[in-house]
Amino acid sequence: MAEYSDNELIEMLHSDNSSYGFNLLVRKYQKRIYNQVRRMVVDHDDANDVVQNIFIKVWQNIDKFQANSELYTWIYRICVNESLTFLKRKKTKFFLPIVDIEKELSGKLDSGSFTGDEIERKLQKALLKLPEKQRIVFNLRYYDEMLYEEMSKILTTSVGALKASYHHAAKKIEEILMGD
Amino acid sequence: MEELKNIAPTLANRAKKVHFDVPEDYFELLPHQIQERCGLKQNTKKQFFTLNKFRVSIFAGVGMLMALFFVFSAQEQKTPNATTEEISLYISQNMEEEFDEELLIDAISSKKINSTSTMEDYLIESEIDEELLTEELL
Repeated sequence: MAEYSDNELIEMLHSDNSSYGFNLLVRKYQKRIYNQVRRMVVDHDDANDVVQNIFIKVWQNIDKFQANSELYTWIYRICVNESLTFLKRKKTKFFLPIVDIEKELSGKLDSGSFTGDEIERKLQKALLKLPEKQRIVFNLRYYDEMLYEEMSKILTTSVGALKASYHHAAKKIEEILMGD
Repeated sequence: MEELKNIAPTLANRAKKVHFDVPEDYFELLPHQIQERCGLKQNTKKQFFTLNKFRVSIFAGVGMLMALFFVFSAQEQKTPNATTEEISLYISQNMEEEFDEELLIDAISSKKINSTSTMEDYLIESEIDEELLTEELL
């Protein structure tokens, strides 16, 4: 299936063909968004819930989307907010301190749904030790290879601060990987 | 990756793959599930309003029935429950001297007693002396 540009999708979403346009938009972004969310929440069912909520929000708010900002940036911003909201809700729901959430998510990495080797598992566990926002910065830069300028728009943080955050995260993870 | 070479060489040299298992056909089904949920919300709204309309109709119907019941029962209460003896007594006390044939004719005509047979039946039932009545009327 041919991949449409964001502008073409926006046009479709504002036309009578909006339902089809939305279907194409989901198909275009679902894997990237899913992987981003899955790295944050680890569990598939949780990731599925969050991803569905993200796209439902996109659909519900598409009329409010301003054409001067990029669709890609806008969707990622919703993705980041929804992932953080999910983790926050999980913490307040069970009154768990951060370390327990980390333990819970870390335990899920030991289950059968993670197919990577030992070093990869160690990397994912090391990621869980990072503060949530730093983890998002690392994931966007390392896995999605997103430009700092784009990240800056999504996270409304300066490029300098993002670079520093990424470097700290990478250094910390490297130390954990080299630790044992 | 260049930026990681100095600070995190292990990370820089790793191949970046997705290592999370996803159910079969997940990405094929996800767009449909999401669209269904978007559609479901609209349907739920629709169902909610349809259900409310249905409930409103039922409540309105029951309300109307109750209103009609009260109106009719109120009208029944307005009708005097006088016995025939009481009516006769009232007439004899209040209308005997002022009895007027015209009033009777008016009363008969207002009751729309048009057919002769009905008139005859009435006279027989009421045991009214026809001759006396004719004398009075003429």
